[in-house]
Amino acid sequence: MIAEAAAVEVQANEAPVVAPIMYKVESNDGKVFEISDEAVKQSNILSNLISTCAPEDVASMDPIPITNVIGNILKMVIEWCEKHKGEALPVEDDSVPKHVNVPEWDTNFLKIDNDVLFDLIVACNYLDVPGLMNYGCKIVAMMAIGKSPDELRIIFAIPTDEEDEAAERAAKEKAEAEKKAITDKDAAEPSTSK
Amino acid sequence: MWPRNDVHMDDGSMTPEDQEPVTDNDMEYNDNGEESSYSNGSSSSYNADKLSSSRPLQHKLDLSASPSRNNDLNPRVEHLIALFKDLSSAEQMDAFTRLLQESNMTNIRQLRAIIEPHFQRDFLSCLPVELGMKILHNLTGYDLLKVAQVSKNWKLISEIDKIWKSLGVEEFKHHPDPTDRVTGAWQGTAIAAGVTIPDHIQPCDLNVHRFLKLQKFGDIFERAADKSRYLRADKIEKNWNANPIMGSAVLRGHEDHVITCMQIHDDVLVTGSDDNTLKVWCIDKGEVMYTLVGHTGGVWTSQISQCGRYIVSGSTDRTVKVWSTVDGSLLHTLQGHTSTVRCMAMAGSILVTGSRDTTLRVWDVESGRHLATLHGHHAAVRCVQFDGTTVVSGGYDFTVKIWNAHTGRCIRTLTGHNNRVYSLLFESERSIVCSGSLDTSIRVWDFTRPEGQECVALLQGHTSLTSGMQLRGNILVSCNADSHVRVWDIHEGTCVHMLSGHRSAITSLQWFGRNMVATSSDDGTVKLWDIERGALIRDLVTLDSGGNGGCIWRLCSTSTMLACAVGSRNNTEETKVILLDFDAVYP
Repeated sequence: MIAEAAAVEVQANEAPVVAPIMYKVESNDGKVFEISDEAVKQSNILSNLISTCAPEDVASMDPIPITNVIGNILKMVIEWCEKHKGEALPVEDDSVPKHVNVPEWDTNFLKIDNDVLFDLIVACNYLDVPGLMNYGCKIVAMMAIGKSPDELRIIFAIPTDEEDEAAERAAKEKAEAEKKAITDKDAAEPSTSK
Repeated sequence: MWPRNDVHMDDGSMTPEDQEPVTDNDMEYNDNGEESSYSNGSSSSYNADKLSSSRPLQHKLDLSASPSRNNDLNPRVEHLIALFKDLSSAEQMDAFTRLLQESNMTNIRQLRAIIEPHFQRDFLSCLPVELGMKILHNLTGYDLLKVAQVSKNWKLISEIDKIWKSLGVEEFKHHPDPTDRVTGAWQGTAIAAGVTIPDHIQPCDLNVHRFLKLQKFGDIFERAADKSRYLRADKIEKNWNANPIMGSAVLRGHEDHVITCMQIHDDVLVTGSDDNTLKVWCIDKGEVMYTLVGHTGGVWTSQISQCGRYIVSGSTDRTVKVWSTVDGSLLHTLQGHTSTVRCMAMAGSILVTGSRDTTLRVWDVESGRHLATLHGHHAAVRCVQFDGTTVVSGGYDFTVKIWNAHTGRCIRTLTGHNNRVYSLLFESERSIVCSGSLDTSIRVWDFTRPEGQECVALLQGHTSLTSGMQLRGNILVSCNADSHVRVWDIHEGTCVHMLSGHRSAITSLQWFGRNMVATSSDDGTVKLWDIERGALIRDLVTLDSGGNGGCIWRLCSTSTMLACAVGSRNNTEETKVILLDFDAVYP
C-alpha cells in the first residue's frame, strides 16, 4: 500500500509541463528580449525567421538581430504579441471599408505619444504584425474623425501650404546668404594678399 | 535615436540637455524614414511627397539648432548642465519647473516648438503611402473630404482610388452615367398653373444649370475617379433629400384619358392608357418615340422585358400584344383569354397573364406561343408574380395560389383573407409571399411550410385595401387606400412606422436608395419619406386641383429620376406625365 501510494506520487511529480519555446531577439541598440513560439506567430517576419530553427537548438542560439527597430519599441511589439498569442491574423481586404474595433486593453496599450505610436506603426510594417498594425492605424484614424481641416493641422502639426512655401522660401534665402558670405570671404583674401 | 533614448530611459523626463538629442533624433528619423520608404517600394510620387514633407522638420531643426550653438559658446551653461545631470529625476523636474518660471515668454514659445513634435506627428506624410492608406481606410467619405483640405500631401494620399472604391460598395451608390435631360420637354419645366413643385429652382436660373449639366466629367473624375463617383452619389442623394430640384418636364399625351400603367426600363418610359394606346417615351430627350396602336380596348396592364427589347400590354379587348422597343412595331397578338387581361408578370421571355376570366396563361413572347393555362381561381385574377418557374396569383375569390408554370399545376392554395386580394409580392429565394387585401390586412406566407402553418405573419392596422408593397430583407413598406404608408417588420409581425400626410387613397409606392420611399395619391400629391426615421422628407409635386378631382395615378422612378402620371376623373386636371430630375454630374 505504501509503495503503491509512493509510486502514484512519483508519477504525479513526473507529469511533464509543456513549456513554451522562447526565442531571443535583439534590437538595434543591443537590448535582448524573449518571445514565445505562440506569440511569434503574430509577426509574419519573425515566423519566417524561426521556421528553419530546430527547437532543440533554440536555447543555444544567438539572439535574432532586428536591425531596424529600437529597444523600447521592440519591447512593446513583443508585449502586444504575447497578449494576443493564439489569435487568428486579420485578413486584408481593401475592397470594403475597414470595420476595425479596438478592444479596451489595446486602446489603453496605445495611449502613447504620437512619436512612439509612429515608430510602433513603422515597426509593425517592418515586422509584418497585421493585428497591431490595424489597431495602430485605427487609433490614428480616430484622431481625425469628425475634425475640421484646421483642427487636423493642429493635431498632426502640419503647416498650411502657404506656411510650407514661406518656410521653403526662407530656407532658400538663407542658403543664398550663406553662399554670398563665403564668396565675400574668398574675395577678401586676394585683396589682402595684394 | 540612441542618445535621446538613453537619456529618456535614465531620467524619465525632459531635460535641457534633450535639446541636442532632439536634434540628433530628428536627423536620424529623417534618414530612417527615407530608408523605410525605399524598402517598401514606394512610388515616385511618394518620394516627391517625402521631400516636400521634410521641410516642416527642417523648419523645426532651425529652431532647435540655435540653443545648441548658445550652449557651445557659454561655459556657464555648460556648468549648469553638468550640475543638472547630477540631480535625481525628481530634482530635475523641480529645477525644470522653476527654470520655466524664470523664463520669458519668447523662450517658452521656442521651447514649445522644440517639444511639440514629440506629441504631434504628421503620420500621413511621414509614413509610406501604403500605411497612410491603411489609416484612411478607417474613415468615412465625409472625413476623407476634410483630410483632403489639410495639405497637398494629404490631398494626394486621400484621393487614392482604392480608398474611395471601398466606400462605393453599397448598391445604392451605383448609378448609370450622367444624363442629358436638357432637350425636348426638359427645355421647359413642370411648373405650371395648377402644379406646384416645392423647392424647384427658379426657371430663370435653369440655363446656367443646363450648361453645367452637360459638363459630365469634371476635374476630380480625371484625377481621382472613385472619389468623383462617391461625390456624385452623395450629391444625387442630397438632390433627392434637400437640394432644389434642378430639372423637370411635362410629357403630354393620352389626352383626357386615364394613364393606367407606367414602367421604366433604362431610358425608356412606357405609359398605357384607357385610350387603347401605349406611348413609348425617351426620358433623356423628353419626347415621345412611338405610339403603339392596335388594341381595341383600354390598356390595363403592361410590362417591359428584362432585356428591354419587348413591351407587353394587356387590354379589355382580351388580347395580349407584344411590341418591339426598337421600332414600336407589333410583333405578336396573343389570344386566348375570354375577358379583360388585368395583370401580368415576366421572367426572361416567359410571360404570365391574369384575367377577369379567372385563368392565368403562360406565353413565350419571342415566339408568341401559348405554353399553358392555369385553371383554379373562382373569380377574377387581380395580381400575379412570377420568378421563371413559380407563379403566384391573387384573386377576387380571396385566395392566393401557387402554381408550377411548366406543368400548369396548382401547388398550394393560401386561404385566410376574407375579401379580395389586390396586391402581391413574391420573393422566391425565401419562398415568401406577401398579399394585401380589401379585408384591410396584409398576410405574409411561407408556402413551403405544412398546410395550416403557411401564414407566418398577419399585419393589421390599415383600414382599406393595400395598393402597393415593397419588401427588402424583413422590412415591408405598404401603401393603402386609407391614405397611410406603413413600415412593417415581417419577422416580428409588427408595424414599425405609420406615415401620415396624404389626405386620400395612395395609388403607388416606390422604394429606392437606402431608405427613401416616394408615394403618389388621389389627393394630387407626391411625397418623399424617410422610412428609417418614419418621417416626411418633403413634397415633390402638389396639384392645386387635389381634393377637387386632380389625382396622381401612377408613380415610378429610377435612382436619378421620378415620373408621375397626373390627371383627373372629372377633367379638372389635364392628363400628363411629370418628370423630375435628381441626377448630378461627376465633379
